[in-house]
Amino acid sequence: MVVFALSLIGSVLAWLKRERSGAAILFSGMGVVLFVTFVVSLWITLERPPLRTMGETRLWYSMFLLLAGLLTYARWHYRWILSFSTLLATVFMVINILKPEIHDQTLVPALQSVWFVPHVSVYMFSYALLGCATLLAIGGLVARSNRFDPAIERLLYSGVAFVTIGMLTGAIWAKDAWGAYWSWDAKESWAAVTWSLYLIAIHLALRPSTYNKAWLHRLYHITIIVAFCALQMCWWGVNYLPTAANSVHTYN
Amino acid sequence: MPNTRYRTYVYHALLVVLVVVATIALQVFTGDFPVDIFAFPLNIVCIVLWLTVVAMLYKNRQNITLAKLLLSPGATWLSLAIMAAIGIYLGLQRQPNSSSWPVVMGVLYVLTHLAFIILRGWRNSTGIRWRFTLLHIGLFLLLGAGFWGAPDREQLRVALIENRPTHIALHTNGTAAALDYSIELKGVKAEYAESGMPTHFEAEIKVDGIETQLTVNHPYNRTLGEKIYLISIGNDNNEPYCIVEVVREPWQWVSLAGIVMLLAGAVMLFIRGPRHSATKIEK
Repeated sequence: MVVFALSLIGSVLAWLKRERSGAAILFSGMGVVLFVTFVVSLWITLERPPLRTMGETRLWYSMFLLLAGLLTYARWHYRWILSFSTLLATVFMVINILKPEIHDQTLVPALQSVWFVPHVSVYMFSYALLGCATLLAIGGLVARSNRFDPAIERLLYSGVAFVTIGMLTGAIWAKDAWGAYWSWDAKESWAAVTWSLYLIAIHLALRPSTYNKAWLHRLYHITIIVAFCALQMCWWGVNYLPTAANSVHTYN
Repeated sequence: MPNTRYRTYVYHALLVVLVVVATIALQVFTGDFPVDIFAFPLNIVCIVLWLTVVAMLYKNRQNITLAKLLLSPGATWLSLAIMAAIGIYLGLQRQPNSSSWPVVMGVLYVLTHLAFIILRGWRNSTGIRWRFTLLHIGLFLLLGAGFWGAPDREQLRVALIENRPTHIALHTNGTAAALDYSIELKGVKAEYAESGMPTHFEAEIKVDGIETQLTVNHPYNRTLGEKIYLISIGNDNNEPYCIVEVVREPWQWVSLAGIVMLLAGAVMLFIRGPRHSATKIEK
């Protein structure tokens, strides 16, 4: 609650000032530091990385979303980005607060791997970066503006870099766990869909004509939004597909 | 110029329609792609032939329409769309079948396009383009090893009962196979949390006279291309048993090389960030 109070104060201060607000950065930064402290203390209390359940991935996602929002604000000072990242992070954290049973100390044998922490935490960080890129793409689409493009492009590159690292560390782990780098499990298939869509976005960003032609520019923003929908499918949507029954990746 | 581009798009669209119709027809009339036929050494012969054709087409790219098509931006969009479509197609299947004709032809198209753009783009006037090269060759190796190496991959299950050595294994299709060594179970160990959730599975086994321990995430490397995995353990009428899986994947090192290159490329993607377009708007 304190984290969100601090983030909320930071968001309001950012709205109130046209230029970059040092106080907004300070309050939001304090919120992120407190959040990191909470996650570390949870890690110590549980005696395992808090990354096992869907709820725990939400926890990391919220933390990274606040961090990504803060970094985006500090660098490009879009006044609204802190409010949106705080709002999104709050939604995810409220779900967790209402479901305290998600934190169980046990770590099943399949998750006892050196690849567990890098694979999941890197993925969650990339989700947060790409979440911010999506917010900016929606902003650009609604405002029919290219004002957000430099930030979108940087977030997109960083997000895709971390998605790639998350996917490949997962492949290395999969080889150790069940003998194949890639086995077209439902989760892996949707990860491939997500990655391919983000690669389309990156290749669009590489073309100068994307920024000169209105329809290409809109397509670029729409691709980022669609790719983020595919990412949601990969993260939690896949659990609701009939294919989830045979997946080794389903967790609640 | 616009006419040439328009013509390229039309040719490309016709080629795609032709290939899609052909692959669907093949799937309907002949069933899945006969992956097993292409096991070593035929896959190596095919790779040599394929790369030779790619190199010849690339060399004469100014005069050959197919080479122009495979080097066009449209081919990149199509390749990425194919990758996404394959993911959606397999992601919606209960038992993903990656050896259907459309999937095989789709991956072959992506690989061929990758080969063309690697040949064109790995270096420019200032030298080697490291980020481009690492990312594209990495993906080429990873996809290529999965594609061409699939016929050489073997997955065998072995049921082991304590102190009864065996060399009989079962393929994934249920047919029996004889291993050229024996495996014996010496003991199993399982630990559970208070909630009943498992926390540790372990099997002591003897492989060809060598004692080793198998746990989840820690397979036994019998040779460079063969690993043995613990699948499950149990106890039936006071008789401990376990199921292990022998995976032979000689192409795993090519896949790993691709993964390492892609990882390095991804790190460079993060560090260097975007080079073009939108960053100019900012300035």
